[in-house]
Amino acid sequence: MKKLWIKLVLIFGIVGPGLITSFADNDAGGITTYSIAGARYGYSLLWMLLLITFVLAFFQEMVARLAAVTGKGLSDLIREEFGLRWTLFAMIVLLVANFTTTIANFAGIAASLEILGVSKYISVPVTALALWLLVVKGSYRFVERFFLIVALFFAAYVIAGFMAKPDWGLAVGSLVKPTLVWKADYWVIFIATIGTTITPWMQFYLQSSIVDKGITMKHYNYAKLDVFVGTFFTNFISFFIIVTCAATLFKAGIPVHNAEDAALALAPIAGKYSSVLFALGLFVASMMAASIVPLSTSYAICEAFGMETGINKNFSQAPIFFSLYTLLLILGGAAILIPGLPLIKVMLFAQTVQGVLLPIILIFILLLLNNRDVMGNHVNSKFYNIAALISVAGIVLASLILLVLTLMGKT
Amino acid sequence: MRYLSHYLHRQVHFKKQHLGELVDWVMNARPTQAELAGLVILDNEGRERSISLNDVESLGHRYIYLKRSLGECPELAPADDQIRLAEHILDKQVVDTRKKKVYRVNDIEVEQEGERFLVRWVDAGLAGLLNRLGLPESLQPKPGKMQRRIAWADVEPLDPDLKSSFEKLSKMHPADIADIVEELGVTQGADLLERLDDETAAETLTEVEPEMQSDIMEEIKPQDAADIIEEMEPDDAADLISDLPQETARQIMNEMESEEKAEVQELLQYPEDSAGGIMNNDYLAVTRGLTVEQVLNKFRADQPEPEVAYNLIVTEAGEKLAGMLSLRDLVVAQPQSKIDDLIAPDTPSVRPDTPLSEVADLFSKYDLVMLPVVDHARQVLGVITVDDVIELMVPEKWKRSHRKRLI
Repeated sequence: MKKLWIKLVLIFGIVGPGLITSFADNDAGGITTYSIAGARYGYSLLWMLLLITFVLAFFQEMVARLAAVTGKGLSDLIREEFGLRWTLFAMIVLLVANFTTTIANFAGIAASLEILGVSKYISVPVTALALWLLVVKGSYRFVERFFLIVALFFAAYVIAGFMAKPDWGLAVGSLVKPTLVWKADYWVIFIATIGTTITPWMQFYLQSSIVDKGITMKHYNYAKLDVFVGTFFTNFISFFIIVTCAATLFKAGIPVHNAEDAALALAPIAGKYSSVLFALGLFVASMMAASIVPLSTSYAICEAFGMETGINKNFSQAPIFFSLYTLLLILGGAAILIPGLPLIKVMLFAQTVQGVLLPIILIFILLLLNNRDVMGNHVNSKFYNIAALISVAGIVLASLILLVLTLMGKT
Repeated sequence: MRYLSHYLHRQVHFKKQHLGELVDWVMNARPTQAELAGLVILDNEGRERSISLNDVESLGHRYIYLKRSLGECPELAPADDQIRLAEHILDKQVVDTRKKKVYRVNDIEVEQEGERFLVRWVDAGLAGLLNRLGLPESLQPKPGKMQRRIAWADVEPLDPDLKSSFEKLSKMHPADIADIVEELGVTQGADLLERLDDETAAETLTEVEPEMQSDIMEEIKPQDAADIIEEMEPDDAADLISDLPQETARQIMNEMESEEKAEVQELLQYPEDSAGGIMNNDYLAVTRGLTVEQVLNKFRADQPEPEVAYNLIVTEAGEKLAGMLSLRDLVVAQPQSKIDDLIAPDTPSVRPDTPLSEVADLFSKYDLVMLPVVDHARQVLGVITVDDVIELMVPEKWKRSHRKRLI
């Protein structure tokens, strides 16, 4: 009996990092990208979602293993194994990707509150200040409370998906039937879907969470389970967002140019209140990621360069850490205040940037996973490496196709 | 002063002949004097060669010239305390034993003294970082600003490949080493503890936050864990073991010496939130009727642990509590006087099931440093010491751990 109890505590103690990471992953950019994917291309991008689920599970497992074996953060390891210059390169990539994500999440905050009639010139500065105070005052556990609200919001998509009576045969068929459209817009969304499902910041964040929780190879099987459950969940929800939007918006011919359009997908469940429901969900999801992403960026960069980190320190003890966090919030928020900025476009663009930059971070992870000095007997197997290389090559290829199509002017 | 990073990947020549590039420095590390002993050169065939500094003609700003060709240089003799600076120190974490913190090394500063090169400083500040990234002097912060230099005498490398015994680190206070362990996390913390001697490891582990203690113990081989736990105070050991998963606890207990094991097992039967749960059964007891001198001799012979050394328990027939004796009263008394006259009358005592709040009240009311725990027949079971009570009273947030909480 006691054994079972310990097992349960272990599962709930350790089921955490993977699940929280994957929920934060469906942020403003995620919800927007999946909505657009379903609204503009119906079920035809679903095959890519299935593929990317496996790729995500793959890389999240690698990162979890890397964390459990070494007990070090990802940027620590990059610094120790690749030296200072490569670290600088990796950190610049991470900073650019995370800055665009932060902008996207402020766009999500602005868009969601605009639906409720709050001007972005009020909502963005207020939420930015709130996020800043939360971290500088060091009360960060509120993220867990967001977690529950976000989960409820995603449940709404699942229910709406069923109520919209989608063509299930076509939806499930599309999961395994690749369709390609030779237009730049399709590839923008294609890469954005990759970039929003597997993000550079997730890798750093997941690794830190696992190290923080003190998870080692002893409990690795639980961590693995947690990561796989998280991966399944995040993409299960992505699937339903796409299907719901395909069954509603695609059918009605609404290509989604603003947040109100995307909200209509929830009409089957919420009727005339669908915009309120969507606004609340988008707001909380944006807030969750808008707090996590800048923070994990500051952690990663300060760790890499050996500067003081920690929200339990004060500004004078960790000046660079707090300055970086503050700067990301201020600049991320300020970018949104540019008059007449198309918020949906910004969110989509940020995900595309992430998708283009993602392979760089993945290659760093792959190299670490193949280093015997770092991993000992837990290095990647051949099968893993081949699968991972194919994935990375696929993502790079998609970026190149987008580049070519854009140059050819096939929008 | 020279920065070591400036010389890495410099081309190595003998006269006009290109021999390879410099990939590392070899240093002989002695606790205070750290001297460069040689260079590691990657030759044109891609092989690594270690040569002595004696074979170097000059270390220029563009090229390094040797006195003879690589083939003629003898291989540098390996020694026990050799460190490869680029591999083990640069970009890695070290402990600054003076500041008692972990830093990441951005660069290493070397000073030339005649023929010798001495490693003087390790740079862990922003200045060293920018310098290494090749920022021109004019853009760099002024000296003194953003600088964090650690004298080599205070540097304890953490690279696990070095297999060092942490001489400098061991001299730190266990509570400070515990902070370092918490900062490093479970995996590296366990690795660090395993390389300390058992006694230092035990004292350090006691100071680590409880949740992490058990995580670390699970990482260490049961045999080594048992050796460390044997060195702990029985009350701390019992707390730790009761927090472990059953299977791990059983494995460790099996490896323990019988005497320590018995002490710990006796304490394990009491619930954690009672007087019995925080009591220590490794204390010094003397019987009535002895002289001060006899007691002091016993004290010297037994050498009790500091936390139980301020007071002695005095017992009478049948192990019953007669009273307590303070070390101060013993020291100021005449050697031939009887201890019976020194015993404080009506010494307070508690039962193992006394709630902790009551225990704390007694400590506070009577300004105690030690409180005996007795059973219904007034037989002494153990003592509670003030350090464990303070532990109870100080709110968690005062002892804010260094572990960051992202979630």
